[in-house]
Amino acid sequence: MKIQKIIPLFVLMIAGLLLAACTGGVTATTYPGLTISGDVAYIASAGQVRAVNLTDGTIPWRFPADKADATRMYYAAPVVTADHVYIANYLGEIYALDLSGKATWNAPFSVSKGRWYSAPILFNSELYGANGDDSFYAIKLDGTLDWQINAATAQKQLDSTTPWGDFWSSAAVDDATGIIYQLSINHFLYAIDTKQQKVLWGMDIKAPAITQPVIQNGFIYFGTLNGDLYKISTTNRKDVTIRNLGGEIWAKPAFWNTNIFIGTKTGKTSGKLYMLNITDLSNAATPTDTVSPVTTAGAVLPDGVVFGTENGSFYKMSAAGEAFLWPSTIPGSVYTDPVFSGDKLWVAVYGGSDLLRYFTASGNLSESFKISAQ
Amino acid sequence: MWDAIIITPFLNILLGIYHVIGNNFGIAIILFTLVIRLVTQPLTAKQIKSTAAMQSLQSDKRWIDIQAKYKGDKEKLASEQMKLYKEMGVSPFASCLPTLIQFPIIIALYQTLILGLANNPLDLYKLTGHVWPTLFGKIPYLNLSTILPINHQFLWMDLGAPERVFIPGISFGIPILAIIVVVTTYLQQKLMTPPKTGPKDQSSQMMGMMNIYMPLIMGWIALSLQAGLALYFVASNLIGILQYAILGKVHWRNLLPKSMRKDVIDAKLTNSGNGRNKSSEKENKPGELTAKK
Repeated sequence: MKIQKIIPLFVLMIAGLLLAACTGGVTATTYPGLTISGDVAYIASAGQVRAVNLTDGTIPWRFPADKADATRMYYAAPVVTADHVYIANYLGEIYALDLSGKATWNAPFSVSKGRWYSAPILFNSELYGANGDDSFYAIKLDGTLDWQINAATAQKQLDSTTPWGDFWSSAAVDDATGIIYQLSINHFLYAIDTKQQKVLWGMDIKAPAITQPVIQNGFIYFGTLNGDLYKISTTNRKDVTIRNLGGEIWAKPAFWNTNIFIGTKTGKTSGKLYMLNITDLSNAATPTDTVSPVTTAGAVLPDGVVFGTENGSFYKMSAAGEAFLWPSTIPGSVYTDPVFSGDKLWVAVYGGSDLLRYFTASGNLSESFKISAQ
Repeated sequence: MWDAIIITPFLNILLGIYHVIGNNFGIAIILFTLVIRLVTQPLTAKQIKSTAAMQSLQSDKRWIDIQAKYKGDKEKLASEQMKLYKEMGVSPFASCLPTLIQFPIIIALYQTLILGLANNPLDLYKLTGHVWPTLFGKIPYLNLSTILPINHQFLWMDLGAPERVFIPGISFGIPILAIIVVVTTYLQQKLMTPPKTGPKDQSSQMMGMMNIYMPLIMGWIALSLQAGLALYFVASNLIGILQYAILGKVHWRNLLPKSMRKDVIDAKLTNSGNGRNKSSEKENKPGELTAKK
């Protein structure tokens, strides 16, 4: 082939490769899901779920065992019971693994066809969750479908002006009533009755919500991307308190003593931390500006609440509402809620060379414990 | 820098269109492509002009003579060609430069579309960081609550995923959009290729190769990546054809079978004529050598 013919072909191939490589094709990459149970951390990230022994940093198993599956992306935090780990992926599948990482169902649950952006929740020995295919599922722990509410069914149960779908977050359940509360990025909060297996109502919250709601003392708490923090009574949904915090809310509130602790993103490189009164959501202390957007929920420690920020720095808020920047910063970004377990704050990292690190309770990053992202 | 100067403005224009037309991302992509094509119209016009100049140069008698005369001396041939370029006021790179300038725009468009489609939590987070709530800090522009969630659905497609149409009885999905990308890219290439000026027309040879490889590579990209990007390729191809048609530079006859095309028949005739010329050139060569001496 003549050189004149090779050059355009070469240029075109480079152009094609450049375009394809810009985001790594359609392979979605987002932050990892983290669950800690006893001395084991379960981390869902990209094409593999790992179990990590927190005492010695070994990895007893990975799923799939051989190599990461490029088509099955796992980002939802694994659901852990006494004898099983349930993992959900972006193909809509759920696998049940025993504690040694072996799949125990004959086949994965695959009735759901959309992405499991977030984990289903465990309640009364069933998994409940809304999938990217716009259906809400109740799944038995043997891997069979108990019941589901698809878009058509939901639309019949809701009034015609209430939309349904766009679920990206985990739900929360009111243990007393069995009612599940599910937020959506289509600006609605839904109440789903597990006993009647139907949608009770949908409430317009005027903005997308990407966090899991929290149920505390008979109230549902959650934040939205336009900065509204909601407090809604579980017994009377007209009993609503809304406080706008002036920044996007990307994580659920934390509760400690009699206060709410929550952070916001106020700009590309700024955020704010709040300690609020639980009764009326007013400031219980002067808010603190942060050097980076607050991207995680607060982890409650014995002497304070710790928040992660996008640039890997951490803040600890005291009972008086004062926030202190921790001395160490994690290399990478932090979007996954940190978990306090065994006197350590465990952090799943995105975009760094390590996937899991820990801080001591005094805020020092351990340099000896590193779980590589590879 | 790239992000602040190119991606963020591109994204906000795209989302602005999306919002104005009632949250339809497919139509927003088409209109955005139109805007980009209009903005880069001067580059396109310059490219057409330069290509035409190169074409006419290559059919010039002096050019043909130089090719024949310095066939065996590439260095001399190059220097004589450069002289002729200067004399005729043609730059050999002028037809490539607009394409090269447009390439970063295509990459930026691609990155913008991926960011705009925001199909996982981290992408959504990144998207919100790029949205302008106001213009110049004063005029209200985009509100997250009104643009989110991004509506990915357009006709039968999910713009955030590779497009496939599943037909009952067939176990695999048919990539309709990727096929349309291949066809429209081929059509665009074919319609914009000027007729051959002669059998040794180098640019036509190159274009011939492009006509084959370009549609295949674009089709492969459309097959593998988000349907939103494939939609951009289709819109860009069709708008490109329209632009050339408005400028009167579309070569519709290229679509005809070769046996019916006058230029091909003429070229064949010229070719057979050249055969005769070649022999006469050979006959002349000793004379030329004598003249050189």
